[in-house]
Amino acid sequence: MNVYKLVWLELWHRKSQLISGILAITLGIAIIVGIRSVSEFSEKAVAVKLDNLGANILILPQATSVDDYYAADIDAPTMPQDYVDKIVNSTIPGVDNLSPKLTRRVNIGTEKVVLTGILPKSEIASKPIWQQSGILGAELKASCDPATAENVSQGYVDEKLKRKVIDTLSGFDCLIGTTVAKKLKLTENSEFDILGKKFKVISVLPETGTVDDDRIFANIASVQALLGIDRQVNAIEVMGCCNAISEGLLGKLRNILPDTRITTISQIVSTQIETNRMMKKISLVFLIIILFVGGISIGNYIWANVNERRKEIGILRMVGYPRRRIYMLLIFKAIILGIAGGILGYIIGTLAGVILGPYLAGIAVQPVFMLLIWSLVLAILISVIGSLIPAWLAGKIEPFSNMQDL
Amino acid sequence: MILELKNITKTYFHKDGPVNAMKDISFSVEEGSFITITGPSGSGKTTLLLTIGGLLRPSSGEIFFKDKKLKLESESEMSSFRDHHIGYVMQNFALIPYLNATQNVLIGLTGDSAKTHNKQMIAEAVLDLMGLSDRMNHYPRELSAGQQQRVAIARALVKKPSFILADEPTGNLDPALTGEILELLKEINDKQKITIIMVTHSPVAAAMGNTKIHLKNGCIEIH
Repeated sequence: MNVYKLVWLELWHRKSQLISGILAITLGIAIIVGIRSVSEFSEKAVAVKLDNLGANILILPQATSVDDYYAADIDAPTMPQDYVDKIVNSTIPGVDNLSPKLTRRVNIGTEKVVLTGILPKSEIASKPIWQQSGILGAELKASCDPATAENVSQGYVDEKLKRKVIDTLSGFDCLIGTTVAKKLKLTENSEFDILGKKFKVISVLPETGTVDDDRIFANIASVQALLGIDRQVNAIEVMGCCNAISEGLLGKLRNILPDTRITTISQIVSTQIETNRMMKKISLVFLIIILFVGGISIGNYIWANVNERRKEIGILRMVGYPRRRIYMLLIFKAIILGIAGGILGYIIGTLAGVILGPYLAGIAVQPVFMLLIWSLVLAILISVIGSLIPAWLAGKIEPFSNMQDL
Repeated sequence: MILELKNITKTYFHKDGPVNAMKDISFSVEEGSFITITGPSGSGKTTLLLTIGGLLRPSSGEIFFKDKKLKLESESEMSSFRDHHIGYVMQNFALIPYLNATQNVLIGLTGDSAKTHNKQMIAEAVLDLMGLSDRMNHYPRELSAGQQQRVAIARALVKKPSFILADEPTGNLDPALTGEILELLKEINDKQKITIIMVTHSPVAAAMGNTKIHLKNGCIEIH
């Protein structure tokens, strides 16, 4: 009879012990899986919400302060637009979107307004609030097939065309903020002069409560030509992945663009980083607790099992089992407990996450299959580590332990 | 000569002072012999049996098996020695409660000696020889004391040992079963020429040996 069959028969013989042993691991793994499932989907939900807040890194010329940037000073320093290409070509991970800008105050009639040159696609990508307002037109589905009944019923007559216009923002088209629109009494399709050139209002932007409400947005190439500042920008807004920021994205950007001032829009970034950090800390704390408690529980269970089986182990040693075979007997048992506990823990933890996630965190949680592998690895590891000392002590049991007293 | 013990001494260290369980014991065992070891309680009978079987390391002395000196300090060599050459029959039967008769016999074939692919058939054949063909799937609790001891003998025999060490094999049996088990051991000794070394309190059992050793205070008194 081989060791494996002997382990199965013994496990089956002591069912109540088997259940309590598996339960110890199952509960530990279930807690970790539950927390990780909820926190993984929570991180994603937070990331989506935080992405909606827009860009989180600002690249300015060295001599510029953030205040200067928002004040759109007429003499604000500029930097080459090629810096955008430098970042793109560097393939630094974690840069989701780049939005270069050239901003100046200009007079339109008697009113002073801020004119901002943008790359339309990049700018729209960094402004979720614009996207949500519908200035892009319909979803991609509607853009591809605007004539479907569903789209028509929603009022999308020719969204494909509308989206194309907004995406490209041709030479003398512009988007204007609500405050400027009111101040200059402009509406969609109105035409007006900027520094002697006639511009057409493609869309009045939704009110955002930010400086964007006071701005006119036009294609950056047009603004550069209009102001006579060729291929210069005075800011590059970056949407950086918050994890990448915490892992040193700013430093990497500074290495590429040493003569610039690179700063985070701190409130957004710190919220992102803090939220993720907190979730990771909670998971880590639980992981450490479970490792200790689980390991000790299994160790205790195996040790009790060894003590109960002293006579039996003595018999096995007597018939010729060497020590290593006794170790195998107990370690194999620990592996079985680990596998069973890992799978059950994953199932229970996932179910708990799926059921309780919406109530506790207000998010929908789905099974994370990668956690099954982690559960198995962790459960087997806890179980085997917890069993090492009892197995070693079991190997020391003398072969005559089953015999009468000497 | 299958086994030779030279100047074997075993001393246990107790808080009240050292206890000499065996003192300078020397004797040899011929192949196919039936040796009985008797003596009062505490005389060192079981200690001697454990030492012969490689279950207990003596404090000093040497053991030769087929003229080869055993490395008594080597755990792996002694495990292998037990696995290949010794079958044990104990007073308490030493059966594993959650294994049936066949499985209990099969653990005797677990070690390195188990090269055959047909272990199950061998185990069943030995049980059949022991008259237990209708009890192969019975667990120890479902067997009588005599049947349990037959299973233990089958486990000892299944590996075709060089010798069987029996520690009071009839100690837990009634007189009728005692005779039955002793006859069985004698038959194994006669027909299979397996050397048997048996510790016993029973004069009847002791009389079966062709070599008799009597111990007193850890020393051989009569040989």
